[in-house]
Amino acid sequence: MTSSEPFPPPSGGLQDQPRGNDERALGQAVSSMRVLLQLSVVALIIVVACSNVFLFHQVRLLRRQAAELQAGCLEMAKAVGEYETNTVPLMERFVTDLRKVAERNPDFAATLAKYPLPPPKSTNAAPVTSVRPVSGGTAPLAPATGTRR
Amino acid sequence: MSKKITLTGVLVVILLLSAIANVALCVRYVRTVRTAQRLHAVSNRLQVQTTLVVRNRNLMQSVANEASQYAKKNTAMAALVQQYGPLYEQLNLKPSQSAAPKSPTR
Repeated sequence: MTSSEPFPPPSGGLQDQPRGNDERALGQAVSSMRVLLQLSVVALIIVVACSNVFLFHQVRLLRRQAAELQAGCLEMAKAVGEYETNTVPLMERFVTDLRKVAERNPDFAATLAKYPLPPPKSTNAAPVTSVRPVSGGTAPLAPATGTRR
Repeated sequence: MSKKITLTGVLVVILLLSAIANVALCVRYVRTVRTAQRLHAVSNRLQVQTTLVVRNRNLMQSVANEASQYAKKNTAMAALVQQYGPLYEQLNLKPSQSAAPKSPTR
């Protein structure tokens, strides 16, 4: 038995004709199956390529939007940080001094009482984040870092 | 043993490469979506903080305006308003215009 012919033809002339027909039919079937497989692979390649193009555009669009969002976040964070660093301590000192003036001037105390200012702190060395909002839903002079929705 | 490069083999290799590229793009897409979601959450939180900042600034502007009005008839308040000139500048107010006259305290 050779490698080229794994199933040697049986000796006998009567069966040669049907065997040749079978081989031809088998060859045609293999050929058509091969064409079918190639067409299927080509179709799959087209589908995957379209998916690749779509994903590539989506990733590019999303990255651009993320970059814009990041720039906006940096800007807002900078503004909030600057407010907390520079403005909040000054506001607290100003409110404390206004309260001192209001203690000596009742008419200004009445004016000041109209605004929902934070309650006075016990020590001056307390951190900025210790400022608590007054009751009633408003949070005047509240630090922006600890706020969650 | 000779290897024949058939059309089917070439197509399968192309399909394999496309599938690998597709998987890589999917991974990249998922990562980018996660990053965008994280940034979106941070942005929402910062917007809330910015709203608080604006509200606090408006409140302080009102209080500073009241103090400026009161400084016209009270020297102690006038001195205080002068002292907090930087705060008035940060609040876009003008403390110099609201300075008290040199009149005695009522």
